Amino acid sequence: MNHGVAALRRPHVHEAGFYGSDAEFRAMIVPFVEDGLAAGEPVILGYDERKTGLLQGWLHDPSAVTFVSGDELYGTPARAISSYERLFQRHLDAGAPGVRLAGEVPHVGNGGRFEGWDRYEAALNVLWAPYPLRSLCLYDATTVSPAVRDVVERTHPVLGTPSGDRRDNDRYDGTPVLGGLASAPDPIEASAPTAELKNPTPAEARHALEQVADRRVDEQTLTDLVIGVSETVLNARVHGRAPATVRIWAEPERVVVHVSDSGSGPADPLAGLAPVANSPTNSGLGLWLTHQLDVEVALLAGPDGFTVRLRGGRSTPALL
Amino acid sequence: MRGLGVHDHVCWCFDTRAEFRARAAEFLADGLRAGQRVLYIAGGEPGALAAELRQVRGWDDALTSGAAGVASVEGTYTARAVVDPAQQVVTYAQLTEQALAEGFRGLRLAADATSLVRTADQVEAFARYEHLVDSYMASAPLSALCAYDRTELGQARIEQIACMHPIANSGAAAFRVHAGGRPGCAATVSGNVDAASVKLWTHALRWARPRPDSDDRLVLDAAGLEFISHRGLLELAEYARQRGGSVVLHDGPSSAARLTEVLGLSGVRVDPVRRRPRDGLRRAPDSERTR
Repeated sequence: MNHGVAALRRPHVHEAGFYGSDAEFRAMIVPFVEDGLAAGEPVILGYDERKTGLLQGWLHDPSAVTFVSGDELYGTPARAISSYERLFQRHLDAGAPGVRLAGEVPHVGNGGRFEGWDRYEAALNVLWAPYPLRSLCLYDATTVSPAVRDVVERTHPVLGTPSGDRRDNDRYDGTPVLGGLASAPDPIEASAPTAELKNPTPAEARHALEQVADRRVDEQTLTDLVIGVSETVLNARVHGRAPATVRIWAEPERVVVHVSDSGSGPADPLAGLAPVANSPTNSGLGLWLTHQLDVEVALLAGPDGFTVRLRGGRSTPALL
Repeated sequence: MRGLGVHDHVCWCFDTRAEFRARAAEFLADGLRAGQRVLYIAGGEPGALAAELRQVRGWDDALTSGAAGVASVEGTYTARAVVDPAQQVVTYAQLTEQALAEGFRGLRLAADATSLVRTADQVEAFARYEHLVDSYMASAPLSALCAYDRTELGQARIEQIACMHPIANSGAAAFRVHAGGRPGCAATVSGNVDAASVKLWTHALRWARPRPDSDDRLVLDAAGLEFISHRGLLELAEYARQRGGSVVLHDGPSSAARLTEVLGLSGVRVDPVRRRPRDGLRRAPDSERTR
């Protein structure tokens, strides 16, 4: 046991580890689950189909565990946070002494896309700090990129190994950074936008997007983009510094939208990842809502101002 | 202002009295041609008002025969009068019945109601009246052109009153709440409800007072609703909750369905969801439609 380790005494213990094989993955995850169940702590696991199958074979009583589909859970970082919160809150409300969570966020190594998940890993240290949780984020050391590994090592206060060691992480940097890793430019941004609007109202931005993006992406994606552009234009007008600009690029199966203002963006580094509680005007809800949609959201802060980028439809190849 | 039907209820915001007169003349000339009794209501002496519409073909004969009439706003209402919404509807219902009894096909009004919405109290009562009379018009042969002087009232006041009409000039109202629509619907909502208009939306719901049905469902015809923001939906859900019901947006936009899903709003349902037209013929944004 590691009772002397400072980070382990926090209510939320956010731990990472790297495995090099299924056997190492098993050596790390099975004790985490079995020890939790033995202590009366409900366990929630969010993995893909293959790993879920392995876990069901390895665990003493898989029926005691809540398995959630990793693909669904990890649609977007903000959705993963809300989904996990709903699940663990239910257990805590029912009197559980603590809850254990484990899952694997998307990155190129597992066929996903890591953009935005660096903010997720950093945000959990703040958002879940008051809860009696243990969350374990295991990454495949053979496929994880150096950039992702670096983020993982900076965002987890505790690191574990397949041999069972657990230690305070010297590299842990607890500040969640707005925008996180620099988002790669989208190639389409080098071309002239299909439409550009100066200081539009949310309604004008919605109408322009509907005209430009119609038939470029499926209806559900267009609906999500319309909601997202409406909320972000409103934010730019209310919270940003004029002028606000909307640029829309549309090509077959893909639409990219920039909503920019000349300000420095939200002061809250967790903006969008959690709704702002107890706000009489519901401010802060709009950016969170945008992050819940089935579109990729990036917050880009630069010397010229702040941009929310929304991307819907076919993805560009993932880099991380 | 031509080609409107026997039930139509139009809000027209004007910048000059001459513009109002021209629109009223078109609207009432149409009514005379269709065999309706017409009534011109505006500020001024009745004699002067009668002379204002001489451009309408057969106007003088119509005045003589009783097919046309004029009324002075000052003669009908005291200054800053707050109308009694229900009584006002009874008055126009009686005038409509009388017109039918005398062989006309209905009653058509063109009224400059600017002086009736100058104060907040007046707007409160008049907005309620506009909704009640709209409900009456949906099934009776009464049609009206309600005109308001934009230069005197200002845009905010204009929006308050325009949003209670099924038809308004371009840009006068972001959204509208009115009567009529699909059978079984308590009211019809159309246009755009977003940050710029959500405060008025809350007022408009309370002016219109649509009520849940016997199944505790507040069903609104939303076929013309272009967009409603999360705050608009939250306000609507709260309005219905206070009246013991849940909301059904009939034929509402897919964005409203998606927002209720994302926010987990249990008190609002969009059923059925209106899909975007895929035939290449896009509807004009509702706020830009006018007649």
